[in-house]
Amino acid sequence: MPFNFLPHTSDIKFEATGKDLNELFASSAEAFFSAMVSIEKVEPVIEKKIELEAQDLSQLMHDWLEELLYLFDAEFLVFSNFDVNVKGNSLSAKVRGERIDRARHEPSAGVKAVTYNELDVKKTSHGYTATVVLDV
Amino acid sequence: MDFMKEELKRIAPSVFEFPKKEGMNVPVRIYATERILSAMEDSALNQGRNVASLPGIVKASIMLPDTHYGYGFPIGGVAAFDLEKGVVSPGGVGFDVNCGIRLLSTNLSYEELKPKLREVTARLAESVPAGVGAKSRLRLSISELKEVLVDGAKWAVDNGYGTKDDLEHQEENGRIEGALPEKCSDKALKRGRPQLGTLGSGNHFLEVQRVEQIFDEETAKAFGVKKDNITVMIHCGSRGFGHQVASDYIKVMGSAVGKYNIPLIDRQLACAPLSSKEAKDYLGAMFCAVNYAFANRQIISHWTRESFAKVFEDIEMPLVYDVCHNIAKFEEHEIDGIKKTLCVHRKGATRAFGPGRMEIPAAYREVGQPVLIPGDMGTASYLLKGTKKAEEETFGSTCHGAGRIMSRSQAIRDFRSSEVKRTLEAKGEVIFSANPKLLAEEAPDAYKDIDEVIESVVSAGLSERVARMTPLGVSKG
Repeated sequence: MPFNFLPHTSDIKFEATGKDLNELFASSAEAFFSAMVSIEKVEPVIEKKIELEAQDLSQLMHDWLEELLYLFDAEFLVFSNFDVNVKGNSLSAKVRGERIDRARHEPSAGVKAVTYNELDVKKTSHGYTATVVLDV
Repeated sequence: MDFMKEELKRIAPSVFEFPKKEGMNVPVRIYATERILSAMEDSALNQGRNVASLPGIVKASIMLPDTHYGYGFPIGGVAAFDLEKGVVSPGGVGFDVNCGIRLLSTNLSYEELKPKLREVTARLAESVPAGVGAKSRLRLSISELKEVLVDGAKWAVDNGYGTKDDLEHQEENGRIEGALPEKCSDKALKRGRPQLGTLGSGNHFLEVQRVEQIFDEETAKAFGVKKDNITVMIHCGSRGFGHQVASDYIKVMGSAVGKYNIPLIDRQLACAPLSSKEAKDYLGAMFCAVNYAFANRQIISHWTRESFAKVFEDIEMPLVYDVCHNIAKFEEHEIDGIKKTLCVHRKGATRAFGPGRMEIPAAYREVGQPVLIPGDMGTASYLLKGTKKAEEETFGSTCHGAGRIMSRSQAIRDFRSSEVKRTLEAKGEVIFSANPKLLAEEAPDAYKDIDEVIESVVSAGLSERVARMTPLGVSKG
C-alpha cells in the first residue's frame, strides 16, 4: 500500500509515499478517499481536470487534497484513479471516479478539512513521503 | 517548550494554574478534577501554553476538563482578547464553526414513548439526512443561501421551519449580526448549498432522551424540563460551508502573520489583529457560518417535530435552548472592575452566563442560561445552568462534552461496530446509523467519563446541574 493511517486522538492522519512526486500526489489522493469510502468500489467513469499552483510543495499538497474535498462535498464525487503531473510547485491532473453511491461505496469518516497540522512533504532515499492530518 | 505538570499549582477546587513564564502573556488555567488532570495529554497542555503567548490575550489561557489536542488551540479551551492589542484566530474557533447543541423538551412521558421508540427513531433517521454524502432535502439557489447566511434561524422560521418563539430560545436569538456573505468564497457557498438541513457524521447526532434525574426542581421548571419526560438533543454544525470558511481564512491568516509581524510559537495559531482587514473579513465570513449552523439546527428541529407529530397526537416540543461550542464573538466582561468588550474565542467550550445577563432569554434571566452538554451515546447528557462564577473565572464559559480520549484508528482496533451496537441495544437503546462502520469510532469508551467532566465544572463553580438525560434512540451519520 502506498499509504497508511497513523494514530491521532480526534482526526485522521496518514502517511503516503511515492517514487516521485507524481506518484506521491496520486497515493495521497488515494489515502484521502480511502479515509472516506471503500475506494476499490469506485468506478473511474467520470473524469475531471485539476490545475493548481502554490508557493511550495506542502501548500500544493494541501490545495490538491482540498480541491478533491471540494468536489466531494459540492458535487458528490469520489475518485479512485489519479493521473498527476507535478512541475515545480504546480500540478495538472486528470482524476477519474463517479458520483457517490452510499450503499456501494460504504462511506465512513466525513472529512471536514485538510489541515496544516504536521503537514509535510519530503524527499527520502526511496522517493517522497507526505504526512497529512484531516479534520473529521 | 514542554508543559510541566509538576509546575501546576492548585489554586481552588478543580482549578490548576501553570504560572506565567517567559514567552507567555498570561498563565494557563485548567479546570478539572485531579483524576481528569492526571490523564490530560501533554500535547494538549502544550497547546494551552502556546495560546498564552498570543498578543492581547486577557487574564488566562483557559482549558476545560474535556480538553484535548486540536488545531493550534486545544479543543476545550477559551481565549479572550483585548480589542486594541488582541487578535482573532480561526484555530481558536475550529473548523466546524458553530458546532452546537439544541435541546427540545416534550410533554411526552417515557411510558408513552417506549412502545413507539423504534418507530419514531426510524422516522427521525429518515426525515433528517445524515452521514457522509447525504443530500439536503432543500433546493436552494446561491442567492437564497446568502439570505440564510445573513438571517440564520430567522430565515428558517420565516420559511416555515418553526416559530418565532424558537428564536427567543437560542444563543444570539439564532442570528448573529455582522455576517458578510461577500467575504465567503465560492467554494464555501458551493459546499454549503447541498448540505443545509443535514446532520453530518462523526460525533454528530439526533438523540431521543429520557430525563432520568432532576437536580434543581425550580430551574428545571423554568427550563420546561420534567422528570421521566422525553427530550430530543441535536448536535451538528455548519457542515462543509463552515469547514471551507475556516480553511480559507487559515490561509489568509498565514500571510497576515508576516504582514503584521506577529511572532508565533506554532504556525497553526495564525491570526490577525482585531483591527485589521483580515480579521474583519474573517469575522464577517465566520458569522455567516454561525448563521448557517443556526439555520441548520432550526430546520432539523422542524423535521424532528414533524416526525414526532406523525407518531404522537397532541405532542408539544418547545425549544429549551440552543448553544454554540465553536465560536468567537464580542462580549462585555468585567476585568479588574472595569467593563470591557473582548473578543472571546470558545473552541469546544460553551457559554454559561449566570442570572441577570441580558443575553439570556427573559424567561430564564432569573435562573441563568441553560447549558447543554452531550455525552457519548451510551452514557448520559446533561442540562446545566451558567453561573456568575463562570463569568468571573472563564468569561462565562464551561465544557462542551465528554471529549475524546482514544484515536479513531485505535477505537477501530479495539472495538467492533457490531459489538458496540449490540451492547447499546441490550440496554434498550435503538440505534440508526447511516454508516454502521462508524459506531466503533464513536464507542462510549473512546470518550472521557461525562459524569467526571461535569463534576469538574460543577466543583469549580462554572455551572450547576439541572438535569441528567439518558439516551433512548439515536440517529447518527
